[in-house]
Amino acid sequence: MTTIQTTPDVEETEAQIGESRLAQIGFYVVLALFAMFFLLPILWMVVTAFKPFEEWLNPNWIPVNPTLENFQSIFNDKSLPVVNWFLNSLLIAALFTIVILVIDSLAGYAYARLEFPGKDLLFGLMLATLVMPGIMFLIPNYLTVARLGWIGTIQGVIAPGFAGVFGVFFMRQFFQGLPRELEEAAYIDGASVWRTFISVVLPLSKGPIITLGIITFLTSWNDFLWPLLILGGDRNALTLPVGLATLQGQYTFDYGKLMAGALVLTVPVLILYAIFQRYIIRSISMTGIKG
Amino acid sequence: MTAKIESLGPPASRRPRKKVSIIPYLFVAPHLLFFVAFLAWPFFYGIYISLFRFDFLRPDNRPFVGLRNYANLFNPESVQFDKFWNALSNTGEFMLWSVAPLVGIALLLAVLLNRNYRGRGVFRTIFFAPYTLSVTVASVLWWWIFQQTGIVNQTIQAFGLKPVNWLGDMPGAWVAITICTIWWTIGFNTVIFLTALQEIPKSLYEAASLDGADSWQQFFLITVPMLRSVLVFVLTITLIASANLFGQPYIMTGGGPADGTQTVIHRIFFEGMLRGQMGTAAAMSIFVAVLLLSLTYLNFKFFGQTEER
Amino acid sequence: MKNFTRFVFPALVIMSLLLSACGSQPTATQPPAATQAPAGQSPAETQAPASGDNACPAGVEGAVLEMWSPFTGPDGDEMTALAERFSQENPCGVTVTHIAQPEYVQKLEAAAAAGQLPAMTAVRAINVAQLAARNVLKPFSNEAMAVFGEEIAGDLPEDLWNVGLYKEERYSFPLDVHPLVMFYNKDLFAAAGIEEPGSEPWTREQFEDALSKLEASGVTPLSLGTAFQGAALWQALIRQYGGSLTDEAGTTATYNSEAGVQALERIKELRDKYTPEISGGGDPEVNVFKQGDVGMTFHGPWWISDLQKLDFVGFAPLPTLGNQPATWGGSHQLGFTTDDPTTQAAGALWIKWLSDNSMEWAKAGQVPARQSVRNDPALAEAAFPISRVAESANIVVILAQVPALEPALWDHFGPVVDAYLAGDVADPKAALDEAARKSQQVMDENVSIYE
Repeated sequence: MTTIQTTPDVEETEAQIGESRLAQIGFYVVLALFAMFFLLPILWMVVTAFKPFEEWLNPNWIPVNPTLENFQSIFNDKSLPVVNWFLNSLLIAALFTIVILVIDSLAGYAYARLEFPGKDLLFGLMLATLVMPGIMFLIPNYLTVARLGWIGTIQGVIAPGFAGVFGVFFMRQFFQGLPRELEEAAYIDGASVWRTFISVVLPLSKGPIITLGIITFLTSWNDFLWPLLILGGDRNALTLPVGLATLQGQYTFDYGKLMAGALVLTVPVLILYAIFQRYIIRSISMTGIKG
Repeated sequence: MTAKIESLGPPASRRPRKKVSIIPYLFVAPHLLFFVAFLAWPFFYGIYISLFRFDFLRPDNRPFVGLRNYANLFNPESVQFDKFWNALSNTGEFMLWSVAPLVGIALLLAVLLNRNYRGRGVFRTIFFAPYTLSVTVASVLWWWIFQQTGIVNQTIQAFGLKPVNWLGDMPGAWVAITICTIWWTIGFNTVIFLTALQEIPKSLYEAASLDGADSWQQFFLITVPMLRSVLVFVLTITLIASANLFGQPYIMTGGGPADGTQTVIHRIFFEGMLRGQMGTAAAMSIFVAVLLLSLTYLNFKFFGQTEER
Repeated sequence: MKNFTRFVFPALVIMSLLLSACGSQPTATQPPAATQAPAGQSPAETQAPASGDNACPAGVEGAVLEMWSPFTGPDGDEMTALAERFSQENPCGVTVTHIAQPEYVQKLEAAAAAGQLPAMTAVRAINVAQLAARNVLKPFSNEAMAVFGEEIAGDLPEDLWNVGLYKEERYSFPLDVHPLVMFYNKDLFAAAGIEEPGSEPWTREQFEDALSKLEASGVTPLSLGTAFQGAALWQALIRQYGGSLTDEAGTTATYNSEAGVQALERIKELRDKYTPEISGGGDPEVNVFKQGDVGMTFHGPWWISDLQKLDFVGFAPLPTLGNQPATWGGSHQLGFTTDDPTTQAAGALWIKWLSDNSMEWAKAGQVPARQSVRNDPALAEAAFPISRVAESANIVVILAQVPALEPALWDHFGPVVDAYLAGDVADPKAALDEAARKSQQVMDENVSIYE
């Protein structure tokens, strides 16, 4: 699997060696402009968050009287349990990811390697749903979740997502690519299918499992419409994305507090991203290859 | 994708005596349970709902209306008609605004990142960073930036230009939503392009440059053709993602001005969840789903076929 | 890694299966019982809470009722504090759960579908009928009504009291009103020689006079935008010109009347003559006013706490821009989501207590519905800017109590008001006619949906 780090020097050609210094500078200017486009909004969020009330509407990029009061009022406001939202998001995304990894790798293995009547039919059905837009399922699933009494609960938020077929395909694809010899050896040693899966196949699957885990985690972490529908009976139970929408409803005009809130929600993610960015980007690039 | 599935299972000699083993079913069961409950069943249930005037809190008042919920979508005199088609055309408009830059700029960024220079990893990290944020953070941030008294207008005014009512006027609202979307999601497309670029054999470029092709010729004669299948993939997922637009206008404009950025997902949300009319909402979603499926199909048919050559 | 595959993985399988099976259990995210059970300490010495007949009904003695509220921020804290005080002073108590905005009504309906409703809820008046028709709100029992007594209705503006009725049954009790407020710049008024308004709405003459004086002093007199502000102001003006959005029963849309056109033209005229170019959502008109060089603006009272931080801002009721005083506004109402008469009676105690003590609630930025509270001179002390606009409670335009009426109207006149104010509509009468026709369609369909 190609990784981005080992990029070949594709463009290091004759044409380029003769490239003028001017073009080189132009290239960096273009890059810098793009970098500004991605960075300045985040910087503006930081700047606003540290500005006192009087400065919110001023265009200065350095607060004249920097203050922490926006953060204080966010954290002191009992109606904004930002820490709870963060933990909820974390719990929901983690549970969602774990369950997806378990059930999808089990199913993926069966569809890749095991033989059973109905397999082609089931797999074909899943293939069909892969192309169906999610909006079709929104209302019936909402009714199902309501009927199960899962409104406002964690399982109400995550359970419908377990039906997703992307992970099953992803894992199946990987398992099919594994050499069979190891599994055959295990069978010859008298291991059961379960045992073979657990002690031979899974240890070889760390890479794809991490990849699928990261993609799944990000998806869940950023999900908005479904948790907006399901959660909300209790302010403490919101996820970050839904919580921030609440914050916007409440602090519509307190821009400094709103940006302080957004910043509080952003910083942990960006730290995680800085640490794991290599894995995250590699995971995303693998979804492309699969496509 | 639809290739015949190669199966192995325990070698024939060790296969359980019973013809059908229960074990594979145990493997698929956990996922299958959810698949049936939340994908297979709702597929049919959604169609069923769409045939009723379905208020989920009024089981006593739930008459069968046949295909009327669908017919209403095409009947200019119906209550749903105006708002639904307005929302659908808004979604279409957003796709026109967003898909080209989301694919084109992503490709440009990927090409920029694919060269060999100091700091490349840093730029890649920066370009992808917004993708890790949630839609609400991205939307609230750009909502603030595009306020009438926000930084964009203040900067514009500093240059002596008239401020623009970004979020409250057309096409300002689409510009704001599109820029927010590009900022937030383009890293995804960029990374996919970048990966594909790196899989193009270096030797092709070497040969081309020996033949005297300049950078532009190399790009159009080698890079673009080699990327065709990835282009189709990125185009498809971008089209679908744009068609599913909801969070950005929900937060940045509330669907305004004058319903001008209310998307079809927002409309379905409104009809089904806020107005409580799940029958009409289900009919709308099925109609939209059919449109999206056709779009995906056409996309692959037109762009995908040439790939074979 | 070995341990992972051998033990952790199977454990996860089991966990995930359990998770899928344990659906009916409430999750860990249920709110902890926020308030302590009503304490044993008797309220003997605290200021007598009209105790005497306030004993909790048998069967709910010591019970703690849950109420949902859409109040977030400071008013939410105030509501929680009031509930805690009530719980201490009375043998049965109330806890308040603040529900995340947006989409409060949807949350109530979802809870109804999932069987997770609390005992009672605060709602906006415009949603009462829909929630009643969809079995979320329950009618007040005789036991509950008995708690209020006969005389309480006389202490409430008639419109506000009657808006709690749907199909001749009472579904809600009016707690407060939030009318439009005129925010003005005291410094600019002084410089222009304008006498500051009192707590009575300015007459049209006073308003015109202020406009010309501001203009003469070289100041932009007004900040009028579109979107919410435009639509809310138009609704106030249509009444100021003697018209109304619908007929009395709320079954026919009538806003395409002469008054509707006059109201539109009036706002357009004010915008063209007296305000900077401004439009769109996000209340840009208030931001312009905040910058301190515009004479006045009209907006919702939720802006009070923010604008109060600026020393130059004064507060007054919406002036008469048309022919007679009237203002746009909403009202928070309290209703039951349980039909158990005993629980309702206990809840009614709380509603009455809250209403009696709505002076405290005014501090959170809402105009008390009760006339006696608004008449109390202490209000000016307790809740300053609110006291200035309190009498708006009697001139607030209240919609008929018909399910989903407000969206049926607003969804269609809103875009027309916006477009006309932006100069995109030449013939306001024709545009309003078309909007009213569409509103009527929705209203007619709503009749069949909600009957």
